[in-house]
Amino acid sequence: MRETLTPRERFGLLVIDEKPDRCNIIPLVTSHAAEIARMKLKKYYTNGEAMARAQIAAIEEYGHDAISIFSEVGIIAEAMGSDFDYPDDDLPVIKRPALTKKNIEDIKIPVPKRDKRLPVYLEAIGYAYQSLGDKVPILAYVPAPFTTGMMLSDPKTFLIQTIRDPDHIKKIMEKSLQAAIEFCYDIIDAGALPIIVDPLASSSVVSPKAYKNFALPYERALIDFLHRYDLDIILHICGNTEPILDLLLETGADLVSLDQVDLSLAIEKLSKRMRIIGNFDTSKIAFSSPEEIMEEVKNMVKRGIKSKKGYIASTGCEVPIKTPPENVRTFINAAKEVGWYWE
Amino acid sequence: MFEDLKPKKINLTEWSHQFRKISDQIIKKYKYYGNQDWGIYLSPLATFMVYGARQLKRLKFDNSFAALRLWGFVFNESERLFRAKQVGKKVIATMGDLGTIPVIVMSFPDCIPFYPECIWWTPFFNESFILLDMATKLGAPEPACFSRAALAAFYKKAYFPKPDLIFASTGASCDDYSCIMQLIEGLGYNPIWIEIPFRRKSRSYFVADDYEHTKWGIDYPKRFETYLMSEYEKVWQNMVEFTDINNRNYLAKSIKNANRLRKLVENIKKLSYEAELAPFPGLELMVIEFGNLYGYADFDEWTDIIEMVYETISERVQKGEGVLNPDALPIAWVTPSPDPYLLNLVEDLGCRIVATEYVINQALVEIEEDIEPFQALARSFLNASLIGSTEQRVRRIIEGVEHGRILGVLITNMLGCSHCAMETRLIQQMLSKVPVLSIDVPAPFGITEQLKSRIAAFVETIRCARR
Amino acid sequence: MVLGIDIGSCYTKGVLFDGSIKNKIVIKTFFKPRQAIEEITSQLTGFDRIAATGYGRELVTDADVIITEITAFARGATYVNSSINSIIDLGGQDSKIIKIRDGKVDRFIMNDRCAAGTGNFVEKIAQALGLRLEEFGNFALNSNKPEMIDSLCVVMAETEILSLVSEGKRLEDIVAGVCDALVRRITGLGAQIGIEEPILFCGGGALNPGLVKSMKRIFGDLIIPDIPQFIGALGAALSI
Repeated sequence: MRETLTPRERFGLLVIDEKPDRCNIIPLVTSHAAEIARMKLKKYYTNGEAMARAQIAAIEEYGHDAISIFSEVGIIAEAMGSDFDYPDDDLPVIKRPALTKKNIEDIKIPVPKRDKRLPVYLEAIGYAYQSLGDKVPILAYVPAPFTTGMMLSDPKTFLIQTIRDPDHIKKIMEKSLQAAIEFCYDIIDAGALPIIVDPLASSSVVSPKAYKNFALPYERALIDFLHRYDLDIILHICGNTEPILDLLLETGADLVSLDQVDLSLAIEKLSKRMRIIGNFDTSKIAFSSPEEIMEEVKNMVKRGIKSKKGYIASTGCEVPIKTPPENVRTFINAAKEVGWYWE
Repeated sequence: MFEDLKPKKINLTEWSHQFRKISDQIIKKYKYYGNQDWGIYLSPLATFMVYGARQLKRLKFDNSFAALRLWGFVFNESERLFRAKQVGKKVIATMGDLGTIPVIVMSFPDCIPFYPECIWWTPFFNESFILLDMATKLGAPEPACFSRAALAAFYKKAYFPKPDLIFASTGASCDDYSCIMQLIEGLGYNPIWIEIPFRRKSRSYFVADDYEHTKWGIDYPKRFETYLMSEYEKVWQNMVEFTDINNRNYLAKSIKNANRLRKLVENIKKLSYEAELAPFPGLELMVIEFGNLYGYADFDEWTDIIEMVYETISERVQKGEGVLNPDALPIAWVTPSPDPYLLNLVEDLGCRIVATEYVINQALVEIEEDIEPFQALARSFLNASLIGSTEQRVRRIIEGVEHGRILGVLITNMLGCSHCAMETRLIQQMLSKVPVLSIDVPAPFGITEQLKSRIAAFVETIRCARR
Repeated sequence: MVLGIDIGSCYTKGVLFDGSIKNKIVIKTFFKPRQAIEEITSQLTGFDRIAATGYGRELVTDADVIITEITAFARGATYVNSSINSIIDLGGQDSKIIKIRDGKVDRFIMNDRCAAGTGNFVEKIAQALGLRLEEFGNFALNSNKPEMIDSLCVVMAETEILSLVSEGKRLEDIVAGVCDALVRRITGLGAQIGIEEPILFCGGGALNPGLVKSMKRIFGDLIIPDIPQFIGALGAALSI
């Protein structure tokens, strides 16, 4: 079958509830792009133009349907005062969370065009937009308040405080929300669609109750803010989300990107109101043989395209950095073989 | 909203900033087709940039709330057409005649007319060759005008849904577009062809004919009116067959609606062009003029927006406020530019648009309400400059020059547009009293320093001539 | 004393003017307009004001006056000869035709998007024929029967010329044909605004005797100033 649409046109139809020629295929090719561009990771996440060039190289290599501006989820926390190390060949590593140095009241809302590596994202978006923005949508990953909050704190203390001092946690959430809003504001002005990522809110990390009390309200608040722009918002939570599937409906997200859940169950519960994105196992994309990947991706996509409100074939989480390119290509080819809506 | 702001042109980032002051209630207040969920259209311009309209990064826009509504509504048109079909409305493509057939279509309940050729702005707003390259592949290469983007859009089905019915007007309409419509037919669509008669000034062509003239003083052979009426009857019958509804009272109502908008727009133009300071930017005024064609697929909501624009402009004129420098030079613009940036540029370089000849004056004139509706439609259409002589086309501009209201004339040519190539010299001759600049509109993102230089030289020439 | 500076795509021209031309200089621009401006301002000294025109005019940051080429050429040309009604300027990257009425610009037109009507066309063809520019002009003078060259596009013209060469046509006639082709293009351009005599022919093209001959063949008598390359710079200087 022949592709008629550009990724931009395909995505545009998806978000107005129209079926495109085939389903969007957007494996979460993030820092793996540095590998494709044969670029040191440190360069990828500290230099906006480099990040964009790596992403463009990945698009040229794989032909998937969106550019992903992302390195790791600490980006806002860092701009709010958490210290990170920058290893040459690895992603930034948290050294000292901000709240172990100062009080929440003393933490300032970052200025995205100025503070730490937030400008790296904005530059990357600007470069990619100028270069490919008419053909390919650009997604910029924004850590949700809960994830940022945990990156501002010592994780263990943070989790204990969700029980012992919820008011304190709410203060952290409020600030993290403000920071995320400011960041989104500049991201949109640079030309990218914010995608909200909240990996630390998954049931693999916190209880559904903690999710409901501390993560969901702020995901919703951030999404509400973005809805003022009449944008369709993606919420991505990797890890296990089966226990909170019903709650996801309350976030107001227009598209939800899932990892360790039964795809059919997610479709059943969510697809009347949300478009489903997912959810190929990332350990499989890294380690399985191309033959196995071909088979399993086809099965997944066949189920996915039955989703009423639309579907994006994707990986459950980021494509691991060292994934053999052959495997990513196989993923895309498999989805292209069976993901057709048009005759 | 924003009443306390001084009128000016602002960029996209400034709009985003200003947008933060708008409450959620206000955002929810404005919607098309009355839909609360997807019908909301009030967004800052950044939203549309995120969805691919790249030129918005370079353009400047009016800072009024009315302009925000206007742009949000215009940029939502593509979604609106898809949504229309999703909720069971009928989407009818009307091509080529520019302004009259939609009035007939709108007299059938839940039928939404639209002009596929208006997509010629999209390659420029997106700074993209996607549609133009596809049009080339499909057989409408570079020498055809930018409206060839419509061919690609019909093929891709991603810019508007498959129309339920297509009317295609050919004959004395645009030659290029007649070819493009045939290529669209070749893609498997089934247009219903409508023939537009030519009209010439000279009576010597049709000595035996009875001549009439329109309310606006244009002579035409009587049989052209009768002929057009029979073509409109054909449109009506096709619509009746398609909808199973046949109520001519609706047509009178549709004409009234069209007139309401046409009067508003006429007042807006008069007010804007005659005010001491320019109360509204030329780009927005162009978008307003073209809105007369079909109200960007929700005629009622569009009319409501235009009412708000009218109020904004009136207020500014009363207060003596403007968006351009007080010494901006009044010029006329002949032939619409598919590149919106040119309108910004010409204003930035010191001009103010005070008259336009966008080849759609048949959509600007009022339709008579006291005669038979089809006859009224025919008589309004016979004002079309598209089918008249060049002299009639620029008559009003010549008048403006004579009165000293217009100090220069800018003509934007399209490569491949036969009207442009043949008429430019004639227009130059007819407007011998003022500087005339004719420029070829380059492909998207193709405005060079050389072109800017030429516009700057045009401005210098006007200044010099005035002294 | 005023420095008039005309930053063209190929050459940058400077004129020192104080009641009359005191000094003048021309240097290659070659995509380095800033460097060219510096060189001119260091070589032509003693001025107290600067007027800039040409492509790179906005780069002259300390200019007192900046005007477009159209206005500059009109000023310069009418200063040189006040009786003229039209100006044809054949520059490197573009050509312009300006109609003058009462000493002011009435109409003007410049070539669009194509090199066919410009000096560049001549340079490219000369290169292809292995001729230096000066040789090219003189060769054309020795032709009585210019070959017909249809193509207005440089690339297509090259192909046409190649076939003429292989047919054994005289190089002189081919070169004259090239000049004629270029002039035809200018005629077409000028038709849009209507060229009226007397015509002043200037720009780098007016230094090429072959082109001048072709121009005269089509337009009849032409006024060619002593300093055809400096009309723009002179006009700029006069605008202060």
